[in-house]
Amino acid sequence: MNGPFLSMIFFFIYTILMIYSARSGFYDTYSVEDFFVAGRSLNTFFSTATFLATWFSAASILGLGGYIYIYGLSGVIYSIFPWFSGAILLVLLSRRLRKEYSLFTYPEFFSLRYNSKIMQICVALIMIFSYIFYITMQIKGFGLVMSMLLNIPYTAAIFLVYLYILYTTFGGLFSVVKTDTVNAFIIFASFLAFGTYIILQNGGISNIIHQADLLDAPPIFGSEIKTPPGGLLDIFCKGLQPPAYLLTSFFGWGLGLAANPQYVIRIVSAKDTATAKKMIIFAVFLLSIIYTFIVFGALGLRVLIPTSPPVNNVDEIIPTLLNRISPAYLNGIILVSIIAASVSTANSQLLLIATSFTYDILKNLRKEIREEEMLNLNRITIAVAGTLSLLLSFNPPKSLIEFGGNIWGIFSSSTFIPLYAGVFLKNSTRAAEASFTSGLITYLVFLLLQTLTKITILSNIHPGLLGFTASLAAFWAVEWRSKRAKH
Amino acid sequence: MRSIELRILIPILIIIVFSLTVVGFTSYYGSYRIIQDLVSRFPESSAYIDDEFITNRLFDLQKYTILVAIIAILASSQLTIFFAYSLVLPIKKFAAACDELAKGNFNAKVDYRRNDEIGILKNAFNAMAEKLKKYIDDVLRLTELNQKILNGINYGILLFSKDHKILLSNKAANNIFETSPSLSEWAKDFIREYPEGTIPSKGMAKWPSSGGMTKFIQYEVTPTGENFILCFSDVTEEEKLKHKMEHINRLASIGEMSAALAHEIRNPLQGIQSCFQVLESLNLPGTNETSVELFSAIYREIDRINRIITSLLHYARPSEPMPARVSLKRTVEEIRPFIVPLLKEKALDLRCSLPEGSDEVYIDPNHLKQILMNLITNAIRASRQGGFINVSLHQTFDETVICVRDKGIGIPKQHLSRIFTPFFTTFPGGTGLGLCVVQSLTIKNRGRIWIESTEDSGTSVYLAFPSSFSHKMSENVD
Repeated sequence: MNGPFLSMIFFFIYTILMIYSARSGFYDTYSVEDFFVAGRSLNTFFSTATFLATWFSAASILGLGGYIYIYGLSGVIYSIFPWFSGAILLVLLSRRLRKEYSLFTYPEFFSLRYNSKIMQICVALIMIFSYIFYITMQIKGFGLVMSMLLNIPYTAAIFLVYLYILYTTFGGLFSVVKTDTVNAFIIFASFLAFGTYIILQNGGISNIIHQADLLDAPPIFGSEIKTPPGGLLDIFCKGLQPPAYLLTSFFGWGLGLAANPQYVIRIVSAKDTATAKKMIIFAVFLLSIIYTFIVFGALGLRVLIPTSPPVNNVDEIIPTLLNRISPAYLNGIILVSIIAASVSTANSQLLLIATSFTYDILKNLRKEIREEEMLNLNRITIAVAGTLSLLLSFNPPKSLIEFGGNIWGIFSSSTFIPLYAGVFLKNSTRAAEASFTSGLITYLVFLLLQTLTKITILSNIHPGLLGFTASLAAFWAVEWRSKRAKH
Repeated sequence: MRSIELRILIPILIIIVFSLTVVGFTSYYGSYRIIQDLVSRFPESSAYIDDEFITNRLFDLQKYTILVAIIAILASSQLTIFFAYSLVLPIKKFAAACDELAKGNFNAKVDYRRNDEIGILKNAFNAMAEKLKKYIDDVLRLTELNQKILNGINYGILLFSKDHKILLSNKAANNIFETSPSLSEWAKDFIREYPEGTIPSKGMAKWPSSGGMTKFIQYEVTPTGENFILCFSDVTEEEKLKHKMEHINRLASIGEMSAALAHEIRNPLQGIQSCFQVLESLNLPGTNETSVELFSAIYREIDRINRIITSLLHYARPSEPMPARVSLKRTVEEIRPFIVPLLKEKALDLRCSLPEGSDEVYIDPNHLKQILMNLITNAIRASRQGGFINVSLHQTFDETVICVRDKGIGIPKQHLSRIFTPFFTTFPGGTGLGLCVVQSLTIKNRGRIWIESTEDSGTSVYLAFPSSFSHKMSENVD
């Protein structure tokens, strides 16, 4: 059967599944608590599924896959290790956060803990701006793959994913969670299929490792830099990836994930502390399985096709090569899994945009908002923010994974210290505000410097390191001063 | 349970999917027939018509058909869900409120804004719930009141059915069953047998209980339609009291007779004593030592009889009390000289533990002296060598309680019930009237007496007198 036609059939089935699961979530929502945090009632199964599906985005698939194709195992050091380190911090956070706070939104923590409405509004604004760009990235990622594999216009593809995202978010967190469960199953099964197919094509994992060790071709046709022999299996890609950037990326990816509002809300929406802990542990276990298959799938793809045909950016490598070597059914499955990953991440972020805007900003300006009115305002915000992301995705940013890294870096530089110090220490409001402000400003200034100056030394350091350091230093300095004043 | 939303949503979705499938199939089949027709009509131009080109065009057509279908389905589903949601949510809220109401939560309210029929339904429901809550509150209040009345009654009430089931019981009934499980057995037995018509509807029942005692139950049954109300009370104590009263009355009669007899004996006894004194004073010759001893023995016995008669008269006919505020300490000091020899004999110490400020008792002073003399004398007799006897006093809300405590031999358990019986004594040479006199005088002064004693550990005698100044002494308590 014709490949694009078969993919369309898969799509049609996926659409039916989405319609059913989102609909059932829609009607579980009665109150603001249901809409925001699924009534704090999610069991281990649903919590794990939504955590996994939210974690997996277009960046995980397209960006990471493309990165491993070019630089090999250094991608694991660059992204997977920091991500998993962040997950460990989330486990530590979960017990006390659940025990001491009953949150509706992520920014509300800063209002409850530090009694700082300013901080609450600032964090809400950061979330709204960051997530609008991140959703744009998701829409773009999916649009690229869909237009390539189905041979349809990019505009039609992004409009389709826009509809999926809106449809699955309107019902609130229950809707997001139920569609995430379907998406998690699709993601897990499809990447196992992808990895297995590539491994079989290469005659086994040992063969992939052996061939990758010998490979010395340029990764992309027309590229001046060749992959040095053994580079794909070297954690610094034999000098192609500077250690400084790889190691400092932890401060962007790792700490950013540990302070990521999406996961904090997943902790809050679990039915109890034990469920929240199990959710993270089970999800990380399942993710490590999926990543293993993605890593060997991408490496195997490099071994099968040592030099990729010319592409516009790294994100297009995996779909382009898959289209060339894999059967129509696998392309269809991968395509559905990419939309599943995009939708599951984007709808969660779109919901956070809406809840932050209505609850953390609007509610602070207008005291009295009825429950029904609050739900309607959230749905209007979802439609507006989704449409804004759709419009932005017509002219998307250059590299998905770097953009993702920037967003996590913002959270690691601004909210990580106030969040973790607020939960574990008895620090003052002023220290938290100073930490938040200095971290955010340092991060943005350094990012601007990197972009404008193009100095090699600067570009080899992840801005998250400086942002986090400034945040920590400001926090410590203000705390030390306030303690001295007390004495 | 089928949701109303499914009734709206499923037909719409089926229609959409069916229409789109028909459109897709029609476009596919139609395109196929058109191409076939083209190829058959222009065989000479088949060289210019590529099969693959046609197939690809057809697939493109299909692809876009499905793409349009997906977008249409998503968009229409979203619209349909919004439409259905606006209808369903208030109904779901309404159903949830009804469910809450059915579970017994009468505070359940429906909260949504609608100006249509669903809004009218909401207002009607809320008004109905409000009224229902009011009625239920009234019923609950009445039930509570009834329960309070039932529980306030100090005899047991059981409502039971013809098929021997207990439908309701009051607090007193439950307390009776708790304290006396044998009565619970009686009630079950009664409820089982009464509907058979073998038991009268009113009367007194005897029921053997544990320990070989018999329980007396007074009961009455009132039929109420299909059920019966059994009112019962454990009158064992009253029955015992009745028997006791009869016994006391008999004793009182005997006492009266004894008093009269004692009075009659006293005069001849005085006469006999006088005669012997005359005989002794004659100082006959040949009077020897034996005669002297016999005379003194006669006087001793006459004296003993006289004391018994005096005590008997004190017991049977105590003088009318003239109550006043009497200091207990002073009274003890006044009687001390009389009992010092007895105290010294056993090397005992008489102590007073009296509260700061007031040690006064409202009693006839002579009666108090008599009471204390008898009690302290008993205590000395019961005490071993060494040790002490303690007289204490404490005030309660409406009584002054005096306690005389010794650390002596105590009273055996089997004798405790008989200590107030006249002429019953455990002391050699005792008359058996001391405690009877104490009890008689205490009652005469409107007091109460009770004794706590443990063998080999000692005895405490408690006397409680009213603190009130207003109690009238005119009433005689027999």
